[in-house]
Amino acid sequence: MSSLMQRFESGNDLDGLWSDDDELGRLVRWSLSTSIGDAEPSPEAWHTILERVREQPTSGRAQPDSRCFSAPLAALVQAAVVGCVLMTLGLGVRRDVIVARSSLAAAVAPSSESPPACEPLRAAIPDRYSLTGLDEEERPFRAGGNIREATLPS
Amino acid sequence: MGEDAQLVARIRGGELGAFEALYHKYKRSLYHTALAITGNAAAAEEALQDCFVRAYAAMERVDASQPLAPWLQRIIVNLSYNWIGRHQRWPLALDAFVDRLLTGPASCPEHYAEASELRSIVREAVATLNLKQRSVVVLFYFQGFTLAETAYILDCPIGTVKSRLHRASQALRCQLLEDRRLASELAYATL
Repeated sequence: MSSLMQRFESGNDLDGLWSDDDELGRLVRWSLSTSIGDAEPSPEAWHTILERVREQPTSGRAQPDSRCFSAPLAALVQAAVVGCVLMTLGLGVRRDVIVARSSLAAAVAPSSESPPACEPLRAAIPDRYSLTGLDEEERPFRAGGNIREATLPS
Repeated sequence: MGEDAQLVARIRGGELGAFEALYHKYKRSLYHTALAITGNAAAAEEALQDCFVRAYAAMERVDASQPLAPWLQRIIVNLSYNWIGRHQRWPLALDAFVDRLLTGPASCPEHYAEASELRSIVREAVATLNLKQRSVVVLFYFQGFTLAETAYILDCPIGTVKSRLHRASQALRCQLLEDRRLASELAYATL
């Protein structure tokens, strides 16, 4: 040990630091090799790896990132929701007239022309439960993009 | 076609036996790297498992024409870094682990004690290095990788590896020369 350290102490090998003959490197290599060189992972390590690998759906293949699925799926859901909303509006509103939301809320059927079956229900709801508390005749409706006070079209 | 390339091709074909061969080929080297960096046997084994699971998942993307050792070492060094970041434990666990390893029989008790002491001194000196310097020392001196391979594993330029080695070397020299146990040995040797 002493002779090794004597050679190391001189420090003359600073220029040859990256050579294989570097005393310091040999000393470190010897120390770490003899300290942990005999260490091995437990046999259970491989079995654990094997189990985890088998849980992967495709052998030896790169697993698709879950985020790759989330974006198209979200877009698909959004498109479906928007489509449903547009379809509902398209069926429920006449092309040239958009009735105020409060009046639509009282209607059961998706049509601006309330069917007779809905009339008793609408009559049974007091004004205080309606969204605006206004009579239908007083509510605004929009025609051609402009809002003006008018009566609902019959 | 090299051995690694053949193994990669078989693994891509779904042959788990080839993956097991790859594991047994590199497990010790990777485990030693993780153990030297983390200083914890359980952490090293956990890193080894994660390393091979990740490697298997990335097997389609790996360049099979190149040796796999630097690529695998890169994975396990990063995993060891992550573990250090989570636990910040060094080097007490390694000391305890090495103490267990040193319980084997020695043919010459005096020589064994001397070697054991020097080993402890050097190990403690390595433990005083910061994480980046320690990683360079482990990969370059202990694992024997070239400067280019070490740079690839640590994802930094070769010049950075050289400067880290240089600083690590200076720090180790200071640590070792200031150690009283070695100082007494040196004084005895010069008599």
